[in-house]
Amino acid sequence: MKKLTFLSVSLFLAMLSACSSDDSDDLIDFSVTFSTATISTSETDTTKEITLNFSRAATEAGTITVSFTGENAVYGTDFSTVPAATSGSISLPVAVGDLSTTITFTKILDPIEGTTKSVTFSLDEFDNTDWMNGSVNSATVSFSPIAALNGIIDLENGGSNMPNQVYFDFSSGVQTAVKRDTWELGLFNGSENRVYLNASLLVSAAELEGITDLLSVTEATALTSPLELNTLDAMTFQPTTVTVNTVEELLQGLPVGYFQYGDIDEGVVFTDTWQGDLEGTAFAEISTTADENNVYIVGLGNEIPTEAAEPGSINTTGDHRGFMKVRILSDGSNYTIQYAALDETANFSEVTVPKNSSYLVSGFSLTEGQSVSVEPAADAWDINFSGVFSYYGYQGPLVAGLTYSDFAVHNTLGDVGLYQITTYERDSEGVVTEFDVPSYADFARGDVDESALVYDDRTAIGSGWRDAFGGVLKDDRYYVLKDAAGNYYKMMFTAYISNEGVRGNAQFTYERL
Amino acid sequence: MNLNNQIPVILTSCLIGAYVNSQQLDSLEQESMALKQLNEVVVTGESKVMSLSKKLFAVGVVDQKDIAKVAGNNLADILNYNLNITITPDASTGRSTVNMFGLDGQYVKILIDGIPVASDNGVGNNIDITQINLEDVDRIEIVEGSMGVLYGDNAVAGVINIVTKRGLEGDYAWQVQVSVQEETVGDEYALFDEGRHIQNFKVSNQVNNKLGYSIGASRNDYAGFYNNFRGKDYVNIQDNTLINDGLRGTEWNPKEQLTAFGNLNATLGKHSIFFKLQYFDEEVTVYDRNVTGRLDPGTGLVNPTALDEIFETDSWVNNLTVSGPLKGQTNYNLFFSYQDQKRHYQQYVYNILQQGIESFIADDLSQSSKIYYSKGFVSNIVPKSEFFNAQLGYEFTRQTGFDAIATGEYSNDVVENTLENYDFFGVLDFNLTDKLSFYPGARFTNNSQFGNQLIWSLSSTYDFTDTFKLKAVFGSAFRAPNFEELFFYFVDANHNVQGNPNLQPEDGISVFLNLENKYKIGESGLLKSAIKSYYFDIQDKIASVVTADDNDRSLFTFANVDYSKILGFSWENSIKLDRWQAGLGATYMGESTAIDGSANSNSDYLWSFNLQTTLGYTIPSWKTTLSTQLKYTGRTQVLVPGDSGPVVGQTDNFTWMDASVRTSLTKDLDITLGARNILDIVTVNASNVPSGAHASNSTSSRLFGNGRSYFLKLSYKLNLN
Repeated sequence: MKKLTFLSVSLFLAMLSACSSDDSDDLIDFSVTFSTATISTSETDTTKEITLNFSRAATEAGTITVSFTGENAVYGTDFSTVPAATSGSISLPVAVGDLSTTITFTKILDPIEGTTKSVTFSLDEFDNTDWMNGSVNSATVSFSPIAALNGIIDLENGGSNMPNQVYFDFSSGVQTAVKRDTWELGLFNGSENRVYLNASLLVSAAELEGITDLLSVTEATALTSPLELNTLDAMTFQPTTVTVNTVEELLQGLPVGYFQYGDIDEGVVFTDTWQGDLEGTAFAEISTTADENNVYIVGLGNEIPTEAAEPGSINTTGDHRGFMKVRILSDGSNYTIQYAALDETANFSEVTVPKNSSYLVSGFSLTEGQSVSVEPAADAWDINFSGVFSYYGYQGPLVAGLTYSDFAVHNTLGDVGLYQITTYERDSEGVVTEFDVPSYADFARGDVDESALVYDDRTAIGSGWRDAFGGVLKDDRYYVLKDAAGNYYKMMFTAYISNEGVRGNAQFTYERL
Repeated sequence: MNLNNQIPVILTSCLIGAYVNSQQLDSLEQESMALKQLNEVVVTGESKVMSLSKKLFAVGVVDQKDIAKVAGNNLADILNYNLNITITPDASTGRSTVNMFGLDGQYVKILIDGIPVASDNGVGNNIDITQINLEDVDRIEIVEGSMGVLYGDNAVAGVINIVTKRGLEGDYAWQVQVSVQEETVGDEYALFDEGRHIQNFKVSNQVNNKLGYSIGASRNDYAGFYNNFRGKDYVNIQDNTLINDGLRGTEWNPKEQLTAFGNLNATLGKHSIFFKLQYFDEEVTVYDRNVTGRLDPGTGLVNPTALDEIFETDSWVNNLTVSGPLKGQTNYNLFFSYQDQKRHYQQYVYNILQQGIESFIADDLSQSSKIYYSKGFVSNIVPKSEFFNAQLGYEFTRQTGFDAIATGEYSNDVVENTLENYDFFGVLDFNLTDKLSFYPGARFTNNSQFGNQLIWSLSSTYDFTDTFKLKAVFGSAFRAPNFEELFFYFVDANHNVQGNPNLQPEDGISVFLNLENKYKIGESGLLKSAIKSYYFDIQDKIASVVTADDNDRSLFTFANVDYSKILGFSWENSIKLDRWQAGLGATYMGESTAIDGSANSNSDYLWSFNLQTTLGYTIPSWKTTLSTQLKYTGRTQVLVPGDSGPVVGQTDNFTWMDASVRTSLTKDLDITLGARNILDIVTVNASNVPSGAHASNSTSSRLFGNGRSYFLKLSYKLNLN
């Protein structure tokens, strides 16, 4: 009997400790929330997506019912929606696996001057009793623009290939995504005649000193005088030199990469400087005297890969896109771009692009042979979250062609100033030094240090705001920005990966001071 | 550190104090027990089936009592006390592998009842020994030296054979065994979320004297070692800003294991049949230490999430052994095995504030391995000759599978690979005189990847007297390249790392000398002393090298360029006297590793000293055993990744000590109370270890233990007729 008692006690104990409290397998509650509480339309931008986010992927199908009420706005007359509404509410089907659903709102009639129009959408009910309301239960769509005082921006760089560069304007809160491979050259629209390279595509350019006949140049062309250039040894990664006699030899070291050729001391650099100043372009200033403009070999950069990288990694630089020979002329108010494939000796293409003072730099595609719309108007962007960024420069003791990801440059040409505030520093021993600066939350207009604003280096943000190898966003810094109109903002990155770990999904928050 | 050094002294004196008090309690029972022990020492294993050949090699045995002393649940709990074995734990994967004579787990072959254990991507070697449960184990046999002829590839440093319990002792028909074990992990313990919780259950039935079977299960729930980390629900948010202090998760990842087993033991005439079926399931959870703190665009508040991972391993073992007489005294042994191992990988987004899963990112089968195995041999082929005898056998292994992790995240080449081995081997006995014997042996291997290989050995024994014996073993073995070395692939703009499918096996040769003697002390005492000397020479060692590929890019790959030479001496003693049992062993080992593949090369011998002692005392009237074990591990060479390939670093010396008291409360109920890692080892310093290229905050220490832990085990055994 005693034995039996003990046996049952120990069996009970065994069962007790076997039923672990580990419940990490349980999914979180399924809740539905509007992605934002206010949405504004403008005269030109009449269609808006209203997004409802789920707390997790749906494990059961169902329907969400959203009701709406209009202020001076009537369904069918002033606005319409997809899915269409029936008797004042919209039914949104949810399939298994969905993470969000959207209502497409289309404005039909603008408000009459002096009146306001808006529609408020609210969560009404779910056919699934386990589903619940999330944090934002309604979203109001305004029929006219609302000035942005703050915002949380999910940048549209497009994931681990970072296919897009994103221009952001703080005062309007508008981000403009442009595919990185739509342009190679950027034509400056100011008084100087300057040509930038697309650093987000790893475009590079080398001048053929003393050669002005475009069609005479092929791979076999000898340089007028041999160049002795620096590079890195492919095996040891140590600095070495190479003598370049022909175009063919030059091509070996023209693409941006660790083994790119160059000589910073002698001013032989095949990329624009990282600072972005007009004097630092790889192309020399375009002369209005045609004979003074030499032929350049342009490395067209690297393709945007299409295969996504594993979470935490990037895959931004694909195969090299090849080379073209280019000669650019200017009369002061137009640029004339002459270009051809490197082995072409019969005909070249020529495109003339007039300067457009609304824009700082106009994009030009050598592969398409035409101007492309890249930057928003000069005063309509403050930061270019270029994703990828490349230049020939210093990395520790080495000089090489460097490629960065998660990069951001600010609009120094457009009079935007920016500086970083560092809240603490951790040295190699792990000792933390706190600096006497306000936290991001506490930073106010009076804390702005006007003299710290950087106007001569567009890479003040760069990519130092995250530690991609350590896999962390740095929490030691935020930025202060002054736009060309004199508005002050503070901005801080809040993520560089998605919750799923996918790179190229940066998020930042900003607030007008 | 001073305090730590004193602890063993204090503890030992406590133990001695207890012994002195009970020293007067002489009894007949005690004498008979000591006699029984003496017999055991002399005959252990010699006549039991499936033993490694004691005739040819010096075999070390860890029996059930040794296992019970440290309340061992898996192989990693007990192997530490072998003089020439070091357990190498890996905090991030939760794996522990065996390091024997300074050679890692890839050079050690682990068998269950003579059949190699399936590992992640091999057969028998590089086994995670925490996955080998001891609930159903009778004893563990350890053979040191290159055993290629009898055990095939990868048996370079030695062989560890785990022998399953068979049948019931005594005349009972039924036996039920239940035990629960609770352990702290360092000073961490809670009923569910901290510590280690073990439950075992086993029922055996002896149907008649020709048929017996048993079934059972064992569960080991290790909640992880938090150390300075704060667990899965930790997040640091200040002023609505996420502070990424890296403190989420655990230092050692939590792990939950379940082993279920059944075996059947039958006799058909003179033939015996043994079948073992085992299922194993393991779940290791890895908590992301970095937290992503995206703002919820709706509320503007931080919504902290982390990417957690689960590695789940499932494996099935089906082992069948048949043995019996073939003709007269000539015996046959046949082994058949089918093993299946799968590893699943899950990655999911864990929402820290809501304490649940947001979404699954990956839920894949990342590794799969199926093994068909058979071995057979005929021994005592010439029973009538006193001078000559022979043993002949074959071994066949067919392994199919893939390993997405070993071949790299970027590999598209995770297609199934099949490896086949056809081996034939033979060992001859030449008994020149009563005292002197020679055993030459050879094995011919045909491997589908590496072609033909020849392995050989020559053993010899010289018996000065019945107890004073010299054994010399001169043998070869090879280590086959692993999956990663053959098939790894990681190529992008900045990386060019590729496995080398043309790798050849590493050749190992070892020489072992073993001189041992046994002395009787008084009526019942016994002293056993052995001096060993060993030498290993591993040629064509596979190393990571940098070469140029067809496009003159740097290619990181593997090649047969290094060598390792190991020379060592050890002296092992054990004494049993009255109620005392004591052991003292010391080994002095030099290791020389040359790295031809990189600029750094160090061909000097690095000498290290290991010391191991055990002390046990039995109080028969209390049915109590006190025991303590201490092992000092000297500084050790380790290969660590450097900026340009691996370099030789060292880990510092450390001392590991356990102590326990085991007592029988009733005839059926045992209680064991003890402490592991009394000297509180958590990390061991590593020197000459440069920081890696990408590791910005590299540490100069290796995680080795969980700190001082305490355990309590209650076990209950019920015998019924």
